[in-house]
Parts: sequence; structure tokens; C-alpha cells
Amino acid sequence: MDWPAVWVTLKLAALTTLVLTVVGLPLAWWLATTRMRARALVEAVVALPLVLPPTVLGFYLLLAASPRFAPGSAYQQLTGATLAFSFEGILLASVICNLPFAVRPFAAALGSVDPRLIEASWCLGVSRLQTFWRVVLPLAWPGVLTGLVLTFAHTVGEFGVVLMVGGNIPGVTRTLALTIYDDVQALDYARANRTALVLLVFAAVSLALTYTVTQRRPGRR
Amino acid sequence: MSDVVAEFELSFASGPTIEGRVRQPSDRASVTVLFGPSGGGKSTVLRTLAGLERPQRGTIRFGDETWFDAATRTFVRPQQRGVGMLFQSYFLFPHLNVEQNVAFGLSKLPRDERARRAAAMLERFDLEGLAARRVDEISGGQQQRVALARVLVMQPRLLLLDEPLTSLDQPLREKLRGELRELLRSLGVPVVLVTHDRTEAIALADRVVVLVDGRVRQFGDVQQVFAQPADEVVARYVGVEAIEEGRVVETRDGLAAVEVGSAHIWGLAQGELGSRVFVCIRAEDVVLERGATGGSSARNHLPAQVVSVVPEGALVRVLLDCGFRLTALVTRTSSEELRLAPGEAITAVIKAPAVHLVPRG
Repeated sequence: MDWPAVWVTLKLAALTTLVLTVVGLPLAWWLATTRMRARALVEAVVALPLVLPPTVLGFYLLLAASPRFAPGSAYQQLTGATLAFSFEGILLASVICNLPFAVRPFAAALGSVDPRLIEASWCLGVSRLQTFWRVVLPLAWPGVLTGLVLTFAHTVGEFGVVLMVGGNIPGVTRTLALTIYDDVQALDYARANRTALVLLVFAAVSLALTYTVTQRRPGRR
Repeated sequence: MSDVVAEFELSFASGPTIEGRVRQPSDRASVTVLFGPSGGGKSTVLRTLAGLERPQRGTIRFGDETWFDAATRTFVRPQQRGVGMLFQSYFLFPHLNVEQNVAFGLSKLPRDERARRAAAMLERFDLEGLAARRVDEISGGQQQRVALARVLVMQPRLLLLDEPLTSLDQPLREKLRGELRELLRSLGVPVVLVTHDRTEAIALADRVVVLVDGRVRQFGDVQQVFAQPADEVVARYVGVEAIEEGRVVETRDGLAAVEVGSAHIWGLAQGELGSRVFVCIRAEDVVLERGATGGSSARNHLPAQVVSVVPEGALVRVLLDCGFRLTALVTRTSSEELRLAPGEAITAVIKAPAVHLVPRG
């Protein structure tokens, strides 16, 4: 195993999941409850990474991250480092790429909570934010968990975008999925197989765990 | 005690406009019932009072507080209104047990104060043994008590009840109707209650607001609204019936005699000896006879005097004075044969099963 790659992969997946929890939950809550027309547009943008080839996404993210364009240069002026070919760069790319895997299950779960339970909480003097923590999240938990696991698992296996934006730098931006590609290129099939097997088992186990946990709480109102 | 005065108008993009006019007086802890057919806008009015709907026009005041004013864009959030709202299907929190549900709104209090108040409320509603139970493991009647406890533990200034008995089975509903009236009386808090059930309205209301098609058609004392509908639309939904307050003076063979003014009326037994009841008699159930024959199966033969005779299509509405006001609806032919005219003496005949007794505690 390529241990630096394992470390980069786990760090990337954990941080991506964390960022998407903080950003994704409010966004999903807004999508689940708003009556604004802009909702459809935002939903489409969130779902875009599902249908776009990762290379297309990666290409534009790479352009945006380079110091020659506004977002990249702003980042450079702020931190003194470039976003492209850095860990922060692939983190940003991975967050955007995983938006639908987190936000869509979140929104479905949050939206399935009966609005009258929320209103009952408001009428008992409990604030909107407290109601979210004490009523919505506990009831939507299985769906939220699904979103978190999908995000983590999908980030572990992300290839195209990470390659385009990160550039496969060992110990910095080279993830496990990239080492498989490198190993196959180097005709080291045995090594590629070991990594691939680990990723396969990991994906299967995390999905199985999620489905078990969410099934144990059948459609409670 | 504070007056609730609400006059507002709500429009929905794809639906009706609902005009709410509710006045809850402060003279005593009284119960205002919003009555009308399903889809008439009753629940929407209740939700607006709670702050869950935002009207386009009008004002809602509670005492000297303004909860809503379209002109000044005032809107007080439901959290700040201090109302207790009981939803139709209760909407207990399914992830919390009975005790956690009751204590839910008390989260700002210190832990021991919270526990003390929740425990007192559980005891008051006979729920101590169920404190740790999940809310989907208890019966409908128990769920209703948990929902009431959860609301009342907050000591609301105004209590809003949306069809509080509708989700219960019929026998339980009748039993709880009496208990609910006692409870509402004992609270000392103004109550606005929504129902489509006329017996429930008659049993629980001090005042009735009749809402049909999103419009308030009539507003007044329960007796007045049911006995004297303001117009045909109200009459269609409310029905016309004499409602008189009386006292049960005798019970025998499943029947109860009720003293109303100077008359005694027999109906199917409801309420204990000495208790107060409403005697409800529909106009179409009153038969008129010349002279006192006594030779019929009907239990009630009341000597009466005709007050007025008003033709209504094929029927004639005859207002009678038999110690209390009674309306009879007879055919035009009968009216002519009996030569009904104001001042005439007549006998009103009513079968006991047509005399509807509603206990008023």
C-alpha cells in the first residue's frame, strides 16, 4: 500500500465530509423548505456534478484555481499559495464535486419531516434554530447519515477531478484512486489489485452499514 | 385576562380568500368555537391566530399587544405569542418519550425546575406511569392528554384547539367531551376551538363563530346561533333547533326529565340527576295537535301558544311559546287544517328520542 496516498485520501474524504456537513445542511434545509422560484435553479446547480464528466468539471476548476483568473489570484493574494496543484485545491474541487451526494439525501430527509411537527415546536416557544436541532435533525438522521457516508465513500474513490486539479503529486494530492492508475501504467497489476480490492471492500461495507442503520428506523413520522 | 380581537383576510395563490373575524371577550375564561363545514377555513383562522399563517390584510390584537398589523408590517412570531396550539392529530414528537414531549417547551428553564413542572403536569393528566413510554406505544386518548400537557405546561395565555376530539374513537370521544369542558372551564384561559361536530360545538361553546366558505356568517351565543341562524346558508349547516338550558330532575327507564322554565321535557338520559344540560329540539321533530289527546306514544305533550306563523315554501315555520321558545316546522296543509294563527292555543308533541340532551357540566 502507498501509505502517504492512504493518508491524503482519508484526510481529503474526512475534510470534504466535514465541509459538506457545515455547508450542505443549511443549503439542504433551504431547498427543503423554501417557496422561492430560485430553488429550481439552485437544485440544478447542485445536481450538475452528477451528469458532468469529471474532466469537464476539473478543467474549469483548474482554470478558476490558476492565478491567471480571479478566484485563483484572490486566493494567492490572500494566502500566498496557489490553489491549483495543492491539497486545498483538491479539497475545494472535491467539495463541489460531492455537493449532490450530500445535499440531495440531506434535502430529501429534511423535507420528509412533517411541517406540523416543526410548527408544534415553534408554538411551544422553541426558536427556528433550536427546532432544527431538536426536531428536524433527530427525525431526519438516517437520511443525513446516508448523505455523509455517500460523500465520504465517493470522495475516497474520486478520480477525474482530483487528477485534473491536483496533478497527482505524491504525499500532497495523490489519492488511492490515482495510485491504482499509476500502478496499472507501470504494469504493477498485483499492487493495483491490492489497492482496488481495499477500495471495493470499503465501498461495499460502508453502503451495507448505511442501509442497515437506516432500515432499522422504518418510516417513522 | 385579555381580549383577543382579530380581523384579517388571508388569500392563497391557488385557493380561497379567508376572512377571519374573531372576538374573544375578557369577562371570563370563555370558549369560542369556530364551527362550520370542512374546508370552510376554520383551521386556517386558528393557524393565523397562532402566527403560522401571515394574512394579507387586517389586524390581530391580544389585549394591548399587536400580533399582526398589515398596515405597519407588524408580525409577532409564534414563539413570542404565548399561545398553546393543539393540533388535530396532536403531532407529538415521535423521537421523544412522553416525559420529554411534555417538557419540550421548557428547555430554557433550569433542569430541576423543568423536571418539577413536567412531573406536576404528568400527574395532573394521569400520565406518571407512562413517562418513559414512546408516544406511538400509547392509546389515542393518552396521546391527547400528552398533547394537552405539552401545551398547558407552557402556561399559555390563549389556548387554540383544532378538532381536539376528532382523532378519537366514538365512545371515547363522548366520554372526553365532558372532561374537556371541565378542563377548559378550570383553566382560566380564553379558548378558541375548531370543530365541525355540532354536538361538540353545543357541548363546549360559550360563543360560536360560524365559518362557511371562508367567511364568518354569524357570531354569537351558542343558543342564539343554533336557534336563530342569521341566514339560509348558516341554517343549512347549523340546522334550526331550540336550545334551552335546563336541569335534570328525574331519571327513569333510560329517560331523563329536564326542567326547562315551567315545563318538564323527557329525553334519552344524558347527564346525572341535578346536572345542567342543554335541551335541543329540531323544528322538524315538533308535531302540532289541537287539544290535549294524550293518546300517543310520544313522551312530551306541551301546551303552547302560537307566537307567529311564517310560510317558507311548502313548509310553515311556527314559533311557539310553551314556557320557552320552540320552533315547529309543519307543512302548509297541516297549518291550514289546524287553522294556526298567532294567539291560538295548541299542543306541541315531541318524541323523547327527538329530544337531544347535551350535558353542560
